[in-house]
Amino acid sequence: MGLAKTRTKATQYGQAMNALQGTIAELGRRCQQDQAGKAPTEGMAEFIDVDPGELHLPPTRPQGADPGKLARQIAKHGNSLDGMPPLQLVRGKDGHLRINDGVTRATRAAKLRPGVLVPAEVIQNLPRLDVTRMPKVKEVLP
Amino acid sequence: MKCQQRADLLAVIAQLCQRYPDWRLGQLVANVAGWADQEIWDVEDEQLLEAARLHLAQLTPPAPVSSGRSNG
Repeated sequence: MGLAKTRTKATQYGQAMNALQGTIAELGRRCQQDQAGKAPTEGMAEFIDVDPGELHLPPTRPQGADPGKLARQIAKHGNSLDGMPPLQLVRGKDGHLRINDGVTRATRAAKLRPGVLVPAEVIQNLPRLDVTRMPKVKEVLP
Repeated sequence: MKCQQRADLLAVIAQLCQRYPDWRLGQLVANVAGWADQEIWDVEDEQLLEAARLHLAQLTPPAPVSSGRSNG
């Protein structure tokens, strides 16, 4: 009887913790959106969650993140994604996404937390731009 | 004429610097060249200007129609 009660309480505790974690994650997301909304020329920013490994690299970074900068970010943040500023992306032809800012962050996330979604801001839609000519982050991971 | 175009380009680059204060200047210009779908070495000033203006136009919501009232 006592064991059953303990199990019930443990289940309730687990559910409460899950709900709390969800609330904290949502608050963090809203906070990031609020901060991004304070840019001088506020526009119609679109915030999404993306798999960083699936993002295409910018034309000037075909080799991926700078190894030294990546090492420094890993030394500083490890595999934590808490508080990471949203990546800034453009959406090209067929909805494919290209990084405009955050190559190192995306690489760190894809390398150390594969498959985990990270927040990103789509800063422009360019439906005629073929971004798939450049490799994806996951294709050039160190 | 060329000087005026260059001045216009630098003005929109300055506006983009305000919008994206964390970007390096080289990164910003490279991104604008990317929006124009051109290599940074080859991109013409007018292509950069057009891409930057288009970006800013998409960012900035249209000015509200005046209703004769002021919030000030």
